[in-house]
Amino acid sequence: MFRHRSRGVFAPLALALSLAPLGTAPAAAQEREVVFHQVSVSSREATLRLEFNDGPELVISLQEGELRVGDRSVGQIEPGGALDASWRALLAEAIALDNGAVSRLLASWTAPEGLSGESAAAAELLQSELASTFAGPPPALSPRPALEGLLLRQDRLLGLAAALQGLSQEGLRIEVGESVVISSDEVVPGSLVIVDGSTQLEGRVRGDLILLGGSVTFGDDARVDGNVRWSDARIEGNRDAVRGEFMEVGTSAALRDTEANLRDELRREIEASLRPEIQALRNESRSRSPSVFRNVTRGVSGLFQTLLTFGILLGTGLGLLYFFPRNVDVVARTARHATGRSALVGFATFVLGVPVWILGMLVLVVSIIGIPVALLWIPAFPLAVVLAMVAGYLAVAQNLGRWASLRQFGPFQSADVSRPAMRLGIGLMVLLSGFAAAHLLQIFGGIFMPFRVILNAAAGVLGVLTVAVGLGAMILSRGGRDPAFAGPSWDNDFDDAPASWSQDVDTDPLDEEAL
Amino acid sequence: MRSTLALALSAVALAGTVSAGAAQSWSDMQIARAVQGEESLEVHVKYGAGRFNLRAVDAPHLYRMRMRFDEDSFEPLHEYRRGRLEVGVSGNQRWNSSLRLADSEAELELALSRGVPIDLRLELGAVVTEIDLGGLQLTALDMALGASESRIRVSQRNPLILSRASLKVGAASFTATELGNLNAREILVEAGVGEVKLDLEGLTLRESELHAKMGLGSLEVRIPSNVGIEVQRSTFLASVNAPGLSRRGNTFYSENWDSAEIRLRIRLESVLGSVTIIRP
Repeated sequence: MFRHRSRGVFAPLALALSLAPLGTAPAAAQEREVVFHQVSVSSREATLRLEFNDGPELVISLQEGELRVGDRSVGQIEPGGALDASWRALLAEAIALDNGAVSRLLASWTAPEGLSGESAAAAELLQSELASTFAGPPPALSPRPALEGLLLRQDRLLGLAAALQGLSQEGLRIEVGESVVISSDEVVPGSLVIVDGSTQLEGRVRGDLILLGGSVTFGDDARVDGNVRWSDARIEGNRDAVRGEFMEVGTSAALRDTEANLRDELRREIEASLRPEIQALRNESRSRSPSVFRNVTRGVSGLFQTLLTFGILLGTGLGLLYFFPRNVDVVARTARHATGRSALVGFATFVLGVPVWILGMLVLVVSIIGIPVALLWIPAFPLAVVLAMVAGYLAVAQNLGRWASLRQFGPFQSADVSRPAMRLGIGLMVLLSGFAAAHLLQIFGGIFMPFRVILNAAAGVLGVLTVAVGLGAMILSRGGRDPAFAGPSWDNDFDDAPASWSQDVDTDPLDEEAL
Repeated sequence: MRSTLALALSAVALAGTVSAGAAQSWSDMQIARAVQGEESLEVHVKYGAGRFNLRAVDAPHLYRMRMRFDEDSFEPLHEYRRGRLEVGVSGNQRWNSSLRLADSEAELELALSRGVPIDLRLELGAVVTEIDLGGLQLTALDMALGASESRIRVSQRNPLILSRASLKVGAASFTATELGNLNAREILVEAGVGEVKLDLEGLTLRESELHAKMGLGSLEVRIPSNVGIEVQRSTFLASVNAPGLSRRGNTFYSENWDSAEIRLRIRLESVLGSVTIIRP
């Protein structure tokens, strides 16, 4: 549809261009006082906002590559390109100036050379806008870049086609990308077409006035015998100068909306026509993958996650054993010999941790000296608690590993638990075995759901208890530095023959507590 | 005192919108507006963290503002309508749990017209403040400072008489010099925690009053020797050091109280800390 309309556009446009040569007209100086200016420059935007003593505000913004003048988009600019850099440099200079100096600076801006395509057209418009806004004649511009810019903008051409419908070509005058002044003694014999330019109309237009982009200001003595057809344009001044009507012929935004609506409509139609097939395919897919496969997939995935967790915890634990073997040993012994006390301290920390953190923060903040410390306290305290929980958990896992081996549980009975790493590995297996079993049951289908829930709950409770005891042991032993609550050394235990371990377990009631 | 503690906490809230580890994207903004027949200006500044400067500016400016802020975490606040100006920054809803109390690069510079009567209201959080109120025509002054380091100066006399100037300080180091130039009938200084230094050089009103409330910390008040002073104190665990004052009942007076052309009544309230009155 759009292709068809586009073809229709070029014929009257080409004819009009051939009939009416593009030209420039002398511009009169327009002194405007800037009463407010706002300059915003950041990596995302470079925006200028001006308010004048005699009229509406001017906003030129460059945001994420789109250059806008007021509400209308005048083109996409390559980020980091010559125009982007030039505009930013201009605003960076303007940011330190007063209103008057800003006016002079903006009026003297010229677009960088070597621009092409949409950037050239946008620069043309920008320069034209600034020149028409401030005093001084606009710089001489060759018509060719403006025309090229116009031809590259399909939306503007579409607007032009709509505006030129039924327009008489007799005496037609077209101005593209220029600041035009029709002085009071000047008469345009036919219609006047202004594309992306600003116009000061003091004289007479015998035909219609067509505005696409840009602006027109009607002087007191201005006169337009026909209608004003406009799109994306700003109209100011004496509106009584127009004998006919003001007719909006559709904005480029509206045209874009139409195009977008058509695309959406087409997409909806395609989706509607394909919906039965898609639904059939979905049903077929579901019938091919019964829930048993979903259960297998989820169960295997869960097992894999548990294995990954085991690996991460084991790696962390081995690291702790390598770098802090004595501390881990003291924490583990504290957890074993003061299990109840450790659990109480751990649960108390669960409850009081957050209030202590907040209170500490407040105390530090309200004292001036403490403010820098507060900056450290805010992230460091929760981080320290989490680290203590992990370290304590791993230390208690060692105890569990030793306990499982001494109880001669299945595969663990022949393990050499004199090695801390072995104890840690076995302990983690015990702690995570509940989750692993639950995932394993999931593979065999939904009928095991109750068992899975029980296993998950039991493993969760065991995990929480382990964390509580471990955290408490970490606190009681000051991170493994204070053996006040620790029992005899592991090494002493394991220096004995394996038989004595069993004896030790049988006679030492604290081992029961260690769980 | 609760309000000043709340002020300190609100300073944390004002400043606590940025993740300490987050990358920052700095944005610069300048705004200037010319006087267009305004007969008065009502100014409200709300600024959470960074540096804040305030001074007077000559015509034709009504105000001029320059701001640098992290656009990932803050949005600039600028609203002007019919003689009412509101400026500052506001958090952009990306609430994070960590705090950064003062940002070295964030900055707000504000200059206000010398030629227009101004009602000035400042709410500053964890801010390093440098203010010179000299040259401004102040009709009202209300300042609330959070956890900040503030230096305020009134380098030139306020041509208008203020009925009351209110300075509320949370947890801060606060120094105010030439406060007498405010031309205020009453100056209220309410401080929570910190160090407060007040210099009342420039007093010209025949009768004026200083009401200083201090929670925890030290308060130092410097008063020109030609000013007669009367001190009433209400302290809990605070020491008051005021050499040269004589006691009549529960009130202390300077030697020149009866003869002085300029008199200042001081009401001191302090919970814990020290209060020192200096007569140079």
